[in-house]
Amino acid sequence: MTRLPRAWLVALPALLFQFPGWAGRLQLGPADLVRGEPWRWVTCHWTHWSPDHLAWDLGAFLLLAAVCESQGPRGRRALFTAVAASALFIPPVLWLASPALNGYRGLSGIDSALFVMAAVLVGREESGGRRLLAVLAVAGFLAKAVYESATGAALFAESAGSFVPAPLAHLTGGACGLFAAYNPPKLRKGGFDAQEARADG
Amino acid sequence: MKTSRWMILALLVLVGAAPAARAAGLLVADGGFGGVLEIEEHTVQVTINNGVAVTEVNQVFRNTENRQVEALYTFPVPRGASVANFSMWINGQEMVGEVVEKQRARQIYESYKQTQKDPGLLEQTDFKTFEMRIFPIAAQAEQRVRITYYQELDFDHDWATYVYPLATDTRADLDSRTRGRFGLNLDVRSEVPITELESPSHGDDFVVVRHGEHVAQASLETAGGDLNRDLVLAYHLARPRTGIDLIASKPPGEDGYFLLTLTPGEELEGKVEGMDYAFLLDVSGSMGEDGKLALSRGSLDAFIDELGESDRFEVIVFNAGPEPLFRELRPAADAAKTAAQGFLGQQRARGGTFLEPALRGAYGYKSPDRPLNVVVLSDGMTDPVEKSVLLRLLGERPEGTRVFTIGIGNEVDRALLEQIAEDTGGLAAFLSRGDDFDRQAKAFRRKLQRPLATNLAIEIDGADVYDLEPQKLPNLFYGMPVRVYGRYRNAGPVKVHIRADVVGGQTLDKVVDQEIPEDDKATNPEIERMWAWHRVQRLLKEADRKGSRSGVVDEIVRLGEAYSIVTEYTSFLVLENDAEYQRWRIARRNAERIERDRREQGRLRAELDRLRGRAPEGVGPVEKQAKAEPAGNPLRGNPLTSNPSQPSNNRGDLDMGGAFDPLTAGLAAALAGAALASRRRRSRG
Repeated sequence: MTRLPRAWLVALPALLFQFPGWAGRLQLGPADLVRGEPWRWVTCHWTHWSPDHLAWDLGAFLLLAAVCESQGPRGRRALFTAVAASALFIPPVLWLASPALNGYRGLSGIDSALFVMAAVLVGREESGGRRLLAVLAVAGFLAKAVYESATGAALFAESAGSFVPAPLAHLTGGACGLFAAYNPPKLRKGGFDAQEARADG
Repeated sequence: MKTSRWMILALLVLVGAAPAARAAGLLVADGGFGGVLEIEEHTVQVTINNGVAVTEVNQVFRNTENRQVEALYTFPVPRGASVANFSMWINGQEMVGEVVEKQRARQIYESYKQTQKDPGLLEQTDFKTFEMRIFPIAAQAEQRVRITYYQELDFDHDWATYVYPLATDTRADLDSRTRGRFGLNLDVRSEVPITELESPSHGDDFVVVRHGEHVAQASLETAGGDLNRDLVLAYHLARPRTGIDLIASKPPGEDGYFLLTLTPGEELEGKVEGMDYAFLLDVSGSMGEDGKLALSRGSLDAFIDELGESDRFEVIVFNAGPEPLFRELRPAADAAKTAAQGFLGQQRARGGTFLEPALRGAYGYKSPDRPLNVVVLSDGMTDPVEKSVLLRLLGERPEGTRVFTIGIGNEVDRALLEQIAEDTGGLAAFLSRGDDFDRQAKAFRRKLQRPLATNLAIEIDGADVYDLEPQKLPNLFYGMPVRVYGRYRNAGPVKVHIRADVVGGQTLDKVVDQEIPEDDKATNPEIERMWAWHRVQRLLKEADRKGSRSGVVDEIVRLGEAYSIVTEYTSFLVLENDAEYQRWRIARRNAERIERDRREQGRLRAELDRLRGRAPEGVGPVEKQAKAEPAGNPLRGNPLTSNPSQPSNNRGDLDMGGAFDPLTAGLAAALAGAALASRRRRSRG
């Protein structure tokens, strides 16, 4: 299996779930979860509010997933951890911390996990320039989250669409990315790592 | 856990112990043929954005019987309101309704009743009443519904008044009560700073909080308080004496909409002394309900008290026939005012309403050298026969006579009163029991004392503006805003040219530079519906003047369906799911519109929440009962739109999503570049 298709496997549903009827049934809504629709916990990340929203989130996902995969087996394992952890942890954090939440959609929380993870992976290399770039990237990410928290508005209104940005989702995703970068899963011999090693060959 | 249980138990006890409270509208089962339904919950969210109010009513009904019923809910249309959405919850999911031609909507609804499915229907039954039908409501089941309506607020220069009608009876033989919670939250957003927000009707019951200069909030919550009177809220603006405000909204892929508000001030600063007044007070039997006669008396007392010594006046009460007080115009000296107050105090509500003889009598007081203002206070004038007589009679009034109408209560025919005022160069005003009489009287008097500007014309050059509403502009009164809605093709600077003839020989001629802002996210979506609603009202008025509506019905249905407006020819229909809408080939226009509106609302709601979060910090805003104090910082960003909070069910209305933007994407690209370079270096190594 090549690297890009693996990222596409994760990203493809984002394209599929853009049909209005589907998106409404797959987005996160606390009342819907309570009513017995648990799938929304995970599926919400693959639905989007608008084509612009989808384009930015999906583009960022593919780019960042490519960065992670380019880091070899460790990066691929970390990618798996970051996607899984952020997909699972973002919804409950939003639910608990945003009583006014009606609906949440978007890959951006997972993107945030990949972003922080990519920065950590790049920053680990023995290069002052790359470390500086990683520090700048994380600082920019945090500054953006702080701005969105303080103002309730997106940094670039044109790209934000007309929904409310969710800095908490981004910060949670970032935390998941940080965790994944330092705690890639250790799979049994002949499993994931071995396959990756062969694929890298 | 124990604490939670105790809290829930306490809440249940409180709700159960709360005495039943009346609410707006009447609810019966089986289309009025029996059965008992209760309103368990009634919450209202009002968002006022630059003078346009969006009211969202959330209600939960419970069928208390052990059988399936059809619910019929009748409620009055608030003054000048346009119903813009009707949703009901089916299988736990909110289903947004669609506007469909009235007969077809009724046929579809009836066809579902045969199959025991879940349709809902909301119709306008006459000029002031809506009927909502829901079927089926299972035994002991509850049904949640949501209704949204838009309305322009009554403004008097720097005071705006919002009324939520509760003192209503659409069917006198039935009662309606809410046993659970009643709550109303109001958010006001204004480009002109807000200096005060208060409730003349429920002063201390409302908590008022200021969030900066441009946003204020008032909220009331009760589980059984006195809800027999209208909820009235008024806010004061620190506006310059004269002003033009322009806001716009542009849906994607369409021409835009704008609202221009002109409020005349110093141009009409002169004072007209020595006017004659004939006050006509309705004392028919219906005025005895809901304290309407007391309301009228209080208002008229305040008005007479405001008269100057050079003014003259007469008071005529009428029911089956007219009864004048002086049989002449008396100077407004203290003795005459006292006599008038005594006369008004003796009146009792009884008999029918016949305005014609009273109006003819009032015309007789016209002096050749002084203008005559006929001021009619009534709750009715809804009889179609009387209506046509009245309109004919207005054409026979002596030159120099203006007719002013003051509607009392919520049942009054607002459109008719406005038409009378419009046709005679007068004004229409509306009073609720909770209003501040003195303030209303002063405002009304101020308008009459200042010079009137007629033949108003507003031209807008630039931006490729078209389809203005209203097409015929009203007279300009001091402090009375004139609102002009329109469409535009290109945003950008415009020149607003205002011309009018001021009584006394002067001419008002001004050119004002304004700008129609770029707005490709439709940040003021209420403008679109209000534009269409005004168009519908104009078409109806023109058709009524001609005596036939047949030529305008198609256009009204088209506008109703396109802009999701309930009219006498279009209704809201709710079906069980999207597939059912497809089956009947009903486009989901309203669902798309509502989704778009709510996203915008959510964004603005977050901004409000942020301001609320800041409240305890620094110097303001300061929370205070009944009155607000100026404090805090202005709100940055776009005006508010409707704000559909639903505090009752733990479900908010905030739509959230990630905003992966150019900055983050740029940093991600830099990381990708660095990673790629490293990989190449490793490969070469």
